[in-house]
Amino acid sequence: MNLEPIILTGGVVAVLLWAGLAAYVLHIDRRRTAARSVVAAILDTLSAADVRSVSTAERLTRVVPLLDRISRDMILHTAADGSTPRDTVDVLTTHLVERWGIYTLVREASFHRKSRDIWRRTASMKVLFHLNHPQVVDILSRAVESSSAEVASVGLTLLGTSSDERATGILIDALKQRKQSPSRIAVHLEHSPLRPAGAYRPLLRDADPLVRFWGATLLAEYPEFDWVESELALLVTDVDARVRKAAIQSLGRVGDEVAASAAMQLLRDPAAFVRAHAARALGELERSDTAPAVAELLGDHDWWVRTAAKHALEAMGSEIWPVLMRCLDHPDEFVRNGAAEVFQNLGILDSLIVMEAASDDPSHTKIDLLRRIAAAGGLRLTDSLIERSGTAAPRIRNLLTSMGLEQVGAA
Amino acid sequence: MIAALLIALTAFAVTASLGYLMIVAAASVAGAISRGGRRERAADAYQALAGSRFTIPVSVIVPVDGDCSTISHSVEALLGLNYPELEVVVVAESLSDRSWERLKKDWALEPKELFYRRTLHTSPVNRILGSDRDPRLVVIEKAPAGRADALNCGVSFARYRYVVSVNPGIAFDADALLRLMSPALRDPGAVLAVTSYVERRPASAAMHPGVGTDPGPQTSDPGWIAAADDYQRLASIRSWMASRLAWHQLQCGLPPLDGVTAWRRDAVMELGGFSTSAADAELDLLVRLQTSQGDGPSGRVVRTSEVFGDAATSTVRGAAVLASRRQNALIEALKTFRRAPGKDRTRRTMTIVVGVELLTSAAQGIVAVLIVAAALAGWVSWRAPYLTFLLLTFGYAVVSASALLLRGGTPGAPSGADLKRLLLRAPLEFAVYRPALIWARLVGR
Repeated sequence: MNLEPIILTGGVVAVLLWAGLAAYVLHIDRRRTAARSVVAAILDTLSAADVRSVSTAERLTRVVPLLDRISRDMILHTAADGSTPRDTVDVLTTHLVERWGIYTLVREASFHRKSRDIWRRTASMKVLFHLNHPQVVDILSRAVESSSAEVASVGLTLLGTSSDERATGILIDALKQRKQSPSRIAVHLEHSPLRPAGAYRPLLRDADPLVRFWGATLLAEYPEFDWVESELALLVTDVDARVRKAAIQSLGRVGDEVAASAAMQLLRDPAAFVRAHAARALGELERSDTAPAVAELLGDHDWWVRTAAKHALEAMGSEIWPVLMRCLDHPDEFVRNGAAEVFQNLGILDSLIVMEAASDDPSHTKIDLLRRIAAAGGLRLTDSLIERSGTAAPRIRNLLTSMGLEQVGAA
Repeated sequence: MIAALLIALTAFAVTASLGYLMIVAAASVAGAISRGGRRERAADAYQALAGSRFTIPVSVIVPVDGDCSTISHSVEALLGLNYPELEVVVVAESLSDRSWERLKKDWALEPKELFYRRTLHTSPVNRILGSDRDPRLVVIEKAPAGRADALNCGVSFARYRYVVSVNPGIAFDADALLRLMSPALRDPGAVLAVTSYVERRPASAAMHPGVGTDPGPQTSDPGWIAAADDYQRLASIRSWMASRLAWHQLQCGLPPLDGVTAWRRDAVMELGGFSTSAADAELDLLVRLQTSQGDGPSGRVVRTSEVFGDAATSTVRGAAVLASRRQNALIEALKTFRRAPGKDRTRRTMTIVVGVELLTSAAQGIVAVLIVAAALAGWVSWRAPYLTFLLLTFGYAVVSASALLLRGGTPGAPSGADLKRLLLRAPLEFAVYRPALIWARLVGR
């Protein structure tokens, strides 16, 4: 068996390949480190107090020798980096334009051929946006349609921060045509410095339910406009459950009377997530007068609705305790559990038991209430209560024992 | 006649194995050169996502057990993440008294009864504690039943659409969760899970667990570092490279050795949660999610090229346990494919991906054993084993160097003296560290 020639050749190739690769890796690392130190020197120079006060042209003159030591890619990368100070970006972009021309940046920002050129395209887009170049909105519009998620993402981000009204139009158009994920587009519309509430109004009447959904969702940021509440209220009868959900969710943030009445109406919606959001909206509106209707949802067949009802009741505050009391005797165990949990989370249970345990003559009504809460919440509720009460634990234990709840297991 | 047949078979097995290893090494080099040395991508603009109410909320599950001194730090860092809405669910099993006291004191924990839907069957929950300091924190104390059971408990309790499982020892910076969730935020309807990478680093070079700022490139010499730490780091970087290259070419694959994954809660539930009998519950679920097209949740598993954070290296014994767990998990995955062979492309591709990872170690073992056996039998001279050893050693080092080349283009990559040391130590990994790992596994049985 003569394997030696193969193994020897393979071994030599492996050694040479390792040595070559190692040298290449170290070379790249050294180049990168050197470039980084030059960039650091440029940033240091430009951030010096005496340099900051002079004109951009003068500042550029101070760092040109340093800029000549690094590649254009490195300058572009630094200029596009979000952490680079704005006045430093001014200098770097001026250098890029003076040295290589604006056309190069426009070309790079307009398209990419290979995936490895994506970073250059996004960096050029950022630089052109910084320069407020006349073509930048068109370039960003094309970027939003790019098949590259990264290019589209940067396009959306820049359009979202633009003060150009065309940018809002492009974003809304992208949302309507679903060029990218609507939620991602909505993130950027939400942060638009233009606050374009008027542009969202037509969306509420769009034939596409998803567009109506996003129109209703985005309007939650505009409580200052009177028409928002009434327009949203019209959508609570929308045929699409998602739209009804968005409408009630936004009404919970911006609304008042109309919102509460719409939410009450949606507590009986056939879609569980609409009922859940209607309950949450009433909680956000702090409408304790609606607590009886919300408390009914503690026994909803959908778990998320029950959870939403609990949170809504908690948000309404401790004044709803009479409503909760009625739930403690409900035939449905879920309702009893939910009511006991709300009693606990509102702190009513703790204050009641601490007061009664400290008293030599506990009130029969309160003892009865405690007994009912403890029975509705189960063993772990009382165990937790004892553990929470610290030094008062022995007295509370005695009180619970006297109430017939002696099997509590907490130490 | 028989001897001739044996010689021919041995020659064939050695040649085939070496050929296979050379192809793997060549693929690594080609992949690293074509994708490595690339300019670092400018950081995505996370400000908009971080401040948006449309950013999908996340439930972070932290399973802990035993003596976990870093848990408070981890909770602090998780709650400090630059993310608009999240909750942290710590699931504690057999946590030491000291760790419990620390956690309770630091976070002002108080027992509370919270009724939740037990959607996945788990061992009994003893009690639930809420935090007076931060209402986003909940600690669940449950009967011990292993990591998968703790994760299932956390998934049952989680309120949000995506759940992320994070080990307490992992260190990360404030944007780590936004980076991880970025693909899911782009397309929440289609993304079932997102995996990312956690790098093993020597404790001296790693961030403090849970408290995070990106240490950036390490240019200064961190001093003398045990070779075992470097080899664990190399293994970690190699697994990241394998995962990245496979995913790039095939759009599916295996996660790196260590990572953090974000799961869509409904997809986890649809597949019955994390398997309590799997060697690696998270790898098992990732494989099931990728191969259950048609009879499972529709969507895709995505791998981010981002680094979530880092974790300190462990002892050789600990590394051996992890390696063994990974191997068992891969074998389990192959068995699953065999039991229920599917015809879809993803399943076939995944079978190849899993097979390649298992076969690479096996091929190295086959070559080493057969060439020594052949030398003992007198079929080859004693020069052959030495040359084979040289080939395997440097072949391994070539793959490590490729991984370092690829890693160089991403933040937090080894640099300067660190990089030099890793490159120089790489050839000795096969000769020194692999036998130590095998020994630790044998002793640990």
